[in-house]
Amino acid sequence: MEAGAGGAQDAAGKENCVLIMFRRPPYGSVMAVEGFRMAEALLAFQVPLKVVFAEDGVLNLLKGQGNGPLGMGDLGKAFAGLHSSGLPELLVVRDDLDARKLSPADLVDAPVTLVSACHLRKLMEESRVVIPF
Amino acid sequence: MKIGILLLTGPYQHEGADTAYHFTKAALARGHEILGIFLYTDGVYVANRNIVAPGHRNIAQMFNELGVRTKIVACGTCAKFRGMKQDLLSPNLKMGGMGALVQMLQECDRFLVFGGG
Repeated sequence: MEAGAGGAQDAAGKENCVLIMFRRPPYGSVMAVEGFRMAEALLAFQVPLKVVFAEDGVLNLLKGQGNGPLGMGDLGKAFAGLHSSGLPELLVVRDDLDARKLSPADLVDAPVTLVSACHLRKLMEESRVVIPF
Repeated sequence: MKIGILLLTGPYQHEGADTAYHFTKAALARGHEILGIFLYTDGVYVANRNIVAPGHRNIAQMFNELGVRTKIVACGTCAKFRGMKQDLLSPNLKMGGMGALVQMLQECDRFLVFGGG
């Protein structure tokens, strides 16, 4: 199985793929960074993976996250680096970006694909496993 | 049905750990196979053998009893970040890496997350 790519369908007609969904903003809780760590690990184990950012989760991809005083890494850069680990694209819910008056130009330099909220529902229905963070 | 479980919350603060425990017991009673429970983030705290809960349910003991019937693995890195060393772990639970989670993901028919977003 190729890391990051969608897999074949299982007996229930679900795509053999894990969908990690980021709904929380960075830094307010540990969830975003732990979700990132899980995504990184699944890619390392060649698990077919999709990653989607929805609601406040879209804030994880903002470029120029200045967090030096907090002693925490730049999560935006970290997520952008998933591409070099084999993740083809970062899916971002366009409606949630719009609601926060953000555009793709505000996001980190990485292959971002905008999807509709409707498409997110489809992704969730199609994926064999959905893990929310 | 083969079921994998991910627990993302610690004991007592929320009810995710209780729900995961009761779900697992009910699923086993109905003849389903629980491939394992992977304790991630604060979920690793349910593995703390030193939990004392006078007059209340002891969630660490509950999971330790469950550990006889199903594999329960605490994420080693999460445990390290929380000062949870091997000798703090309840005897029927284990510390492990992401490989244990991946194996569960690959073998399960259904995968349930408790205490997440």
